[in-house]
Amino acid sequence: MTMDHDPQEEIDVAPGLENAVTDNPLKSISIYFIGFILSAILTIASFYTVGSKWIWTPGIPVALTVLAVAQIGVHLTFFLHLTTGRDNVNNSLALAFGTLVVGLVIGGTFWIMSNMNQHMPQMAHMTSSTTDEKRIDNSEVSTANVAITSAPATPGRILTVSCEVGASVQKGQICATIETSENNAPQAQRLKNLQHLIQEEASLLDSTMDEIRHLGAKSVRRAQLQKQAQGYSAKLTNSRTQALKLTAQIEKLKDNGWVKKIVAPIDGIVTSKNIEPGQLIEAGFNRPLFTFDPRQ
Amino acid sequence: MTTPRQFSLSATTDHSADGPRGHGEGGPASKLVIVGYGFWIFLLSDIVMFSAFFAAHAVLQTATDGGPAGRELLSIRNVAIETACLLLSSFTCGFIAVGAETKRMVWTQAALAATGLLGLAFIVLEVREFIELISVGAGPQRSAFLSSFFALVGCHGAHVSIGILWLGTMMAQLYVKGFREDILRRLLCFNLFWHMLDIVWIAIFTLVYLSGDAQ
Repeated sequence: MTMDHDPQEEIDVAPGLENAVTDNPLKSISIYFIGFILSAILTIASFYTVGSKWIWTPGIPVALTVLAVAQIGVHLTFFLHLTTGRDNVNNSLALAFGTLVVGLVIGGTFWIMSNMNQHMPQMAHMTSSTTDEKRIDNSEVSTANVAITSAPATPGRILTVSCEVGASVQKGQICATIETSENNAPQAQRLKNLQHLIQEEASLLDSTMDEIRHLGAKSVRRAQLQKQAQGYSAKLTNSRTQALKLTAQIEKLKDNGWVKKIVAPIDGIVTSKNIEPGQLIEAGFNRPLFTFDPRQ
Repeated sequence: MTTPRQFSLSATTDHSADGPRGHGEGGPASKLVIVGYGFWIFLLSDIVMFSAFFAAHAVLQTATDGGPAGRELLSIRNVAIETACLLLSSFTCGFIAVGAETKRMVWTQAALAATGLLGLAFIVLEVREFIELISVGAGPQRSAFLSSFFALVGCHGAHVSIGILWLGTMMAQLYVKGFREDILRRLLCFNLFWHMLDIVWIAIFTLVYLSGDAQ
């Protein structure tokens, strides 16, 4: 912008257009070139800052933010030709409004989420139901006076319940077990099928053996049946070894959290119980499984 | 009116009305200015949409669900090359504007082609990065962090891809129709769009790649 008050100076200009006489393309290019060089310097500075030791490490995110804002400014000025002149009032106002909304969205999100995060640690103490006993801080439990164990994140079926209302429990004692995958593990399904097969094979073998016993010693049929029985028995042995293998695999799965243990978070007395064996815990279940009163 | 200020890019330089246009004086602003301004408003609203993705990614950056974090996955070298491509393409995009202002066909087409090729290189690098991430089990389903990463970076990548298609049609339109007023308006809008993508990319490489790495 020149400083004279030529009325033509005040024509509105679209963003991205230069408000300058551009008879000479080299002059226009030089503006883009300056922008490019400045932008390249700022980019290189950003990439160099990460992992370097030339500024205090906790200050790196701030430095990166400053460099990014500066680079965005360079782009707006040299590439989009946004100025503070009167011809650019509309463009700048629109940009200012856009920036305001972006600030509200991002700032608001940070505000809300950090606020929730601040409140979450206490929740974590209250809901430490499964394996996170370590996160329970005894002093905080006693100030809360009632510790609650609530539903686990994963839905499932209650297998056993071993803490009754009024019983005194010790910290870490298993109060209930939950089968989280509801027999969905492929091994469990295969084991079920295999058990059916074993039953069938066993009954076949039994009936064959019965038949043999009722036949005479020299019968041709007897030899035939004996051969059959041998076949059944071999199959049965095979199925049984497979079943054993599957059972071992399932035990391993259980150890790895297929069956979740609900443990008492503190020494105390069970004050309420909201689950029964066999009950299905669904995703919407939001009552506490147990509540405990710390022992005085 | 001795030497009327003129925007050679606009063919609408005949300020026959007395006094300046716009600001409520001398009639409405030229169509080029109105179209450019309208597109500017659209771009700003697009940036508002991006800001929601940015906000989501910023708060989910640590929500890795025991999976890999950004530092273990993202290659700074790759993103540096991507950034160089996009920054250079922003510069060549300036050549498009200057070429159009001075109505030089070969210059403008060459600048368009250079911009498109650089944009294409950027997309190829980004797609390669995505494929690599998914192949090591770090796809968008893995964790909230990766979902937001793919959503944000993928959204920008989709914008660049659409920009490349637009650029291709602009080359064809310019070749067939020459420097007509409507073509010049479209070129102006494309310029704005492309520069906006670079501005969004500055925020992405700073927040997603560099900040994620610094943590």
